[in-house]
Amino acid sequence: MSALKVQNLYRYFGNLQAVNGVTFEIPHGSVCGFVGSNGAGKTTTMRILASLDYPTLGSAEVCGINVVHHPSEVRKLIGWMPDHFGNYEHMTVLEYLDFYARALGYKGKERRQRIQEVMDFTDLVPLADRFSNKLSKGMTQRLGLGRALLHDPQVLIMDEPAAGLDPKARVELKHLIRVLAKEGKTIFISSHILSELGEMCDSLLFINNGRIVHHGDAETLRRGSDTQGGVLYDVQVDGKPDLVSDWCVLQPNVEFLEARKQGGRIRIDTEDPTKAADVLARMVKDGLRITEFHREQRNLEDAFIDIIGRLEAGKPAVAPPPMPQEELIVDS
Amino acid sequence: MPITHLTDFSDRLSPMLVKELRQGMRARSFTLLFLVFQILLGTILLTASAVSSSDSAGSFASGVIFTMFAIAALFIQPMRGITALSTEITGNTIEMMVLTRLNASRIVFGKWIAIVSQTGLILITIIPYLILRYFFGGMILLGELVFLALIFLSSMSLTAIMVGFSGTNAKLIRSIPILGVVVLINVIPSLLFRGGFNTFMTACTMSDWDSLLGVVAYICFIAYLGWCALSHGISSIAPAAENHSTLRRLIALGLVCITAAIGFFYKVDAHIPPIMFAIILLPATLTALTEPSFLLPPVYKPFLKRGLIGRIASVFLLPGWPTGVIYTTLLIVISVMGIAGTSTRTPAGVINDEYWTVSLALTGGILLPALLSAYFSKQETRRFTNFMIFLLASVVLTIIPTMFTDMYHHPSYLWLLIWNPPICMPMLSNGDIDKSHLLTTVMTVDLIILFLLLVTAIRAFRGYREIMLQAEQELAPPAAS
Repeated sequence: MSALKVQNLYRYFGNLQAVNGVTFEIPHGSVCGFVGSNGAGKTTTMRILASLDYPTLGSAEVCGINVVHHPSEVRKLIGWMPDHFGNYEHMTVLEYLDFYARALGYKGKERRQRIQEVMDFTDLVPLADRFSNKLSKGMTQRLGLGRALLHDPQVLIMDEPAAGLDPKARVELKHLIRVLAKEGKTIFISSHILSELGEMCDSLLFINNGRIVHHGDAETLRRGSDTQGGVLYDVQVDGKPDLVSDWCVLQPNVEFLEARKQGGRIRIDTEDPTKAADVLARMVKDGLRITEFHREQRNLEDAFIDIIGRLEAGKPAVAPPPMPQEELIVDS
Repeated sequence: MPITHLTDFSDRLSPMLVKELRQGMRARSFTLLFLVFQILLGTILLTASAVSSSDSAGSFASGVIFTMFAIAALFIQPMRGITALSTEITGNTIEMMVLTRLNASRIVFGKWIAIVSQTGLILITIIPYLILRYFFGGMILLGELVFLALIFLSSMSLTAIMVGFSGTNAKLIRSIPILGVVVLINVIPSLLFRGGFNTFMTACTMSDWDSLLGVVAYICFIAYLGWCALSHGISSIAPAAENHSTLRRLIALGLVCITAAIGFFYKVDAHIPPIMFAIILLPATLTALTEPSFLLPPVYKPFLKRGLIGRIASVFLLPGWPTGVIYTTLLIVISVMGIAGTSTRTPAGVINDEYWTVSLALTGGILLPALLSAYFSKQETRRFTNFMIFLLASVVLTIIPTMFTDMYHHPSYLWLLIWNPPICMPMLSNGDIDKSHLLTTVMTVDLIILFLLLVTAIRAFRGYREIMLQAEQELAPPAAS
């Protein structure tokens, strides 16, 4: 059974199709990044999963429980952290957590113990007596995370938790998410900062205009082909860099892109790693003294733009090839 | 650092109440009110005791105490509820609360009780001043205590109205109840200081049947009004899967049926049933006609489980304005029958054309804004706001043209605004206008508005069909293989 399962989910707001046939599954204990431009349907999907909104059509389940039919059961399983939430006036951090702990049904000693654990985990103890509306953005996010963790949920749904945070607060938040992932919690997190998601997430889910356009791991995306369907390689030789460009002119399906200090970047018009091995073999056979030959990794932003670009150009958002077992690095 | 100082409130108290009390007791609006109240009362009572030889010192002290308490309890305290729900909605905190074990009712009631308990605290602090005032002599003890209780109960109701309306997104609409409060604040001092104090206090002793009935009726009225307002607030924040409409509609339907039955079977003053119907119908229909038309299978399933009766009841009692229109039509029909029943037991001529014209003008005054908001509300969540705006516009379109036509002595121009039923009420006072003709016209206008409203509602109700089918499929037993 998946931790999160969404099938043919549609959500219309009048004539606006916010979510348009979304289907995906996230296994237990994994961290999944949810990526999409503003208005792509991320928040709507997450709110439906958090039982805060409802689908026009389709179904959404958390740990096998339908969010529409059994919202109160689902709420026990999830921790929800919205992108923006206000804090209360005249209420300290401790009182804030106390209120939510009471609201979640904790009583007496157990309540105090649970608050203590959460405050220790989120490092809120020094801020216990500070008014919650006087906290910085980073502290507020930690408080929000603490609140979401009070009932020790199995699944954490976090909508843009890193938005507006300074680098230090972002690192702290990332650290907390990593710890939670290690504890086996399923984390569904949206963010605009793809590089950070790539570091934290087991899989990435791209959404565009209310449709899922990609679901896979970050590594595969980094190794995926570019917009023109080719794969980029960095080649370095012992000798003049011109040797590489001159060699490329004579080769079919190989294009020289850019000269570098010891060689250059080339594009091979295939995603098949065995063909890349053939190219390397031909280079060696033709007398090029190769010191390095490795596939370039794209950053995730480029990968995302590529996928969106393909869709806008009317091409299918093809799934990237499976990750090869090892890098092709050859020392001559 | 171990947490040790979180024992200030018992676990038995509602979390919402604890939160609101923690916040409210620190709020400047409360601490300032509390301190100023004590200082003013102390100073004024000391002055009164200095002139205690005067015969009127006692009633003057009572007047001061009650006026001060009335201002605090009927104006300042309810005003604190004006943003009770809106701040939670805009701050995105309502959703976080809904995800806990708190449902919409507990949130709204918690907010209301917190303000009411602070008003109670102010009430308790009055007791020493009342004891002091007792020594001035001439105190009508029971009357004054009942009056104090009535102010407190009115404050509870006004706070409920403020909290209930505070879920509305438009500030203008949230401010409407303040007008009522301002009127009350003007009425109370005049009641207390213009020689009527003792008469009023004697009435509050409930020594005769009429005054007892008056006090009980007033308490029932404010209790119903307060409950309706809180219930409206609950609906405005409740998730679509929570159904708060059916119970509210059933209660109002029961009250209307009881009132109609009283009219049929007992001899009562002919003017009481219409007033009762107006009191019951106005808040009930206001919410029913403006609820967002969301339906989820879990809300419909309880109706399905009750078979044919449940299906028929769902047409009137499911949440949302489309069923609200059908429900309102039912209430209007029962009310008209109730008034007609009353007319058979009253002397001829009491329930006349004027009587019916006013009743129909008021009914149309509710139906017209509902029709306009049904057509012009693109966002479901703005339906109530739009309704109130159209209602205000209808009132303005009644008052201003009437003023102009009175000024220029051309009442016939009011016929141009006959599509706005409340305009019939000022037209009644004009001798040149044929009353029976006016009654026929307002009846026709009401029927046209109701017909259009029903057509719109039935069309919108069809949008529920898909969800209803889904619920039926989910409840259907699995087919035998």
